[in-house]
Amino acid sequence: MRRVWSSTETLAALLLLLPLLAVPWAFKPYAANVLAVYMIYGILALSLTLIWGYAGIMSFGQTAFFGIGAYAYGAIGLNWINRTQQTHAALVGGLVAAALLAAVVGYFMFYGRISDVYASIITLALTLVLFAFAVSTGGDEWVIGVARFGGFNGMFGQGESSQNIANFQIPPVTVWLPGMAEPFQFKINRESAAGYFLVLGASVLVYVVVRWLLRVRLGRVAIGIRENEARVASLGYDTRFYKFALFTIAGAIAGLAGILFAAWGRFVNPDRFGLGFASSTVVYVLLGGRTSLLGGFVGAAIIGYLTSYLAEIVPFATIPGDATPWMRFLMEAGRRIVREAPLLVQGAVLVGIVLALEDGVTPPLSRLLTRYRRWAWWVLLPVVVLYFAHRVACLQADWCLF
Amino acid sequence: MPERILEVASLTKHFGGLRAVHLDLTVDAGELRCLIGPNGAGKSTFFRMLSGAMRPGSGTVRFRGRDITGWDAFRVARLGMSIKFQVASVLEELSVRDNLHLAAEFRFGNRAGQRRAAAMLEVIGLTERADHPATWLSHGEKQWLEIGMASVGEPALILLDEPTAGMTAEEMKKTVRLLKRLNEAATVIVVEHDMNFIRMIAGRVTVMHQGEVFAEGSMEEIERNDGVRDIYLGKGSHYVVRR
Ligand SMILES: Nc1ncnc2c1ncn2[C@@H]1O[C@H](COP(=O)(O)OP(=O)(O)OP(=O)(O)O)[C@@H](O)[C@H]1O
Ligand SMILES: [Mg+2]
Repeated sequence: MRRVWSSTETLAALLLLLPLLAVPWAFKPYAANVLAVYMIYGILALSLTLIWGYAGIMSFGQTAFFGIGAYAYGAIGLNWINRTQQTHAALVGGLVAAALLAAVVGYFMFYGRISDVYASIITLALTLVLFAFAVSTGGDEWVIGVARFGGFNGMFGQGESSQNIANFQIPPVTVWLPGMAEPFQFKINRESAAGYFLVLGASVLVYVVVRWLLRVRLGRVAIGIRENEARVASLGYDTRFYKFALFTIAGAIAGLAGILFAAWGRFVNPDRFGLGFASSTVVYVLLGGRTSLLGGFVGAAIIGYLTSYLAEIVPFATIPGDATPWMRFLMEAGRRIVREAPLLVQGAVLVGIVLALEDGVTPPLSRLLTRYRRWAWWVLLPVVVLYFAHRVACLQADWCLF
Repeated sequence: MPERILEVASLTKHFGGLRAVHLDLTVDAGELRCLIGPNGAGKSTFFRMLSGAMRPGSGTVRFRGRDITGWDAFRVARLGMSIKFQVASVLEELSVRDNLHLAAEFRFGNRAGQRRAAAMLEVIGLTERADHPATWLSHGEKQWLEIGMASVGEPALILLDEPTAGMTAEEMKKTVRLLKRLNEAATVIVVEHDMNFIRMIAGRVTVMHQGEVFAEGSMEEIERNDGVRDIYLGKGSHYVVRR
C-alpha cells in the first residue's frame, strides 16, 4: 500500500507550491512579476517537452504557436476590451489560433509523409517566416480594427485624436461573468497579485492535464512512437494521427503561454517569433530535462535567474594596486566578459551543465529528493515553510528577526 | 476445403538490381506454417511486405478475402495480421505490462486490454517481471514478450520472424509449446533456421531460395529433397556458419 501523503510527489508539490503561493506576500511585487514570466516560459517549454521528450518529435519553432497566441489575444483583446470590458473572446481566439496553426502544420508534416527529422526545420522556418512577417507590419495599413501590429515596436491599440482617445495597450486577462458586479482584471502590482495567481494556476492546470494525457492511450502511444514507430504502427495504431493530435495539443499549450505573456506584459512584438527566443525554449528544456514535465519550468527559472544575476554583478570592480600585471589582466578580462558578454558566460554554464548531466537538472534533483525523502520531509520542508512564514511576517507586519 | 486466409500472387521486391522477393504462396486458415531458407533468401522482406511495413514493388496480397496490397501497417494490423519482426523491437523503456497493454488496447480498449495483458503475462511466463522496463529482459524473455505482443490482440494471422533466435534448447521447447497453443486460435507463419525446432513444430514447410518458393511439403518430404540440402549445405554453407 503506497502512502500518498509521504510520497515524493506530494513532497515535491508542497516544496514548490507553498513558497510559490506565498511569494506575493513574502516579496515585493517585482518578484511575483518575474516569477510569472518564468512560469509562462515554463509552460511554453512544457509544450516542447510533451512532443519532443515524449513523442520524440523535435519542434525547434514552438515559439510560432506562442507568438500566434500572443498576437491573436492582442488583436482581439484590443478590439473588444473597450466595448465589452472583458477578454473572453481574446482568450478563446488566442487558443484557437495557435491550435489551428499547429493542426495545419502538423497535418502537412505527418500526413504528408515528411520524415520527422524535418519537423525541427519546418517549425523553425515557420517561426522565422512569422518573425519576418511581423517585423514588416510597421506601416499604417497593418491594422485589425483598432489593433495596430506596429512592426518591430509591437502591437498596440490605436487611439482617436479627434475623440481624444490615446493609444492603449493590450489588456490584461479580464473576466466579467454573469453575476459579477464589475469586470475583474488579473494584474500584478502593489494592490493585486491576481495575475500572478492566474499564471500559477495555469501552470498547475497545464501540468496536471499533460500528466493525465501521458497516462491515457494518447500518451502511451506517443511514448511508443518515440521508442519504435514502426512497431507501434504494426500493433494497429495510426501513428500519423497520434503525432498530429499531440502536436496540435502542444501548439495549443504554447498558444496559452503566448496569451498569458501578452496579457502579462500588455505587449507583444516580433521577438517572440525570433531565433533567440526559439533557441532559448530549446535550452530551457535541455537544461531542465527533456523527460521531466517540470524540466521546462526549472530550466526557464535557472536561465531567467542567471540572466538577471549576470546583469547585476560586477566582478573585480576594483583591482588592487599591488596586483601583478598578469593578475590585473585576468581580473580586467573577467570583469569585461561578465559585463559585456553575459550570454557567453550563460552559454558556458549551460554547456557545462548539459555535459555533466545529460538528462538535465530535474531528474537528478528528484532522485535526491527520493533518496533523502525523510530529511526533506522533516527538515527541508519545515525550513522552507519557516523561511517563507518569516518573510511574510516581516514584510506584512514588520516582525523581522533579522 | 479450408478457407484460404492468405493468398500471395507474384509479390515482388527489388533492391537496386537484386530481386529480393518474387513469390506466390497460399496459406490455409488454421495452419502452422514454417518458412525456411538460407540467409538472404528474402523471408524477412516478404514478411515486411505482408505486414505493410514495406511497400511491395508489384504483385498482390489477399488476406481474409481482401486485397491488402500496399495498405498501411496499422490497417493491416486492424484487419487481424500481426508480426514479430526479426530485429527485437519491444518498446524498451515501457514496462513489460505496458508493452502488452499497448498491443491489446487498440483492439479491446483500456480496461479489457489490461485484463488481456495480465492474462498474456501468465501465458508467456513473465508475470513476475511485469513492471520491469522491457529493456531489462534477457534475450529469450524479449522474444516471448514479442510473441505475446503479436498474439494478445487476437489476430487471425501471426507472422513470427525467428522467434527462437538466441534461445537455449530448453527455452526453445517452451516456445514450441507456446506456438502450438497460439495456433489453436490463429494461423501462424514462422520463419526459423533451427531444424530441430521445425521438426518439433511439425507443420507444413515452405522453403525459400533467392526470393522464390523453392519447395513445399511436410518436413519429411523437405528433408528428402536433395535440392534443399544443396542450397543449405552447398557452397558457402550458410546454415552451418550461422551462429
Ligand atoms: N532495405 C534493404 N535494402 C537493400 N537490400 C536489402 C534490404 N533489406 C533486405 N535486403 C536484401 O534483400 C535480400 C533478402 O533479405 P532478407 O532480410 O529478406 O533475407 P532473410 O531471408 O530474412 O535472411 P535472414 O535469414 O538472414 O534473416 C538480402 O540479400 C538482403 O541483403
Ligand atoms: Mg530475415
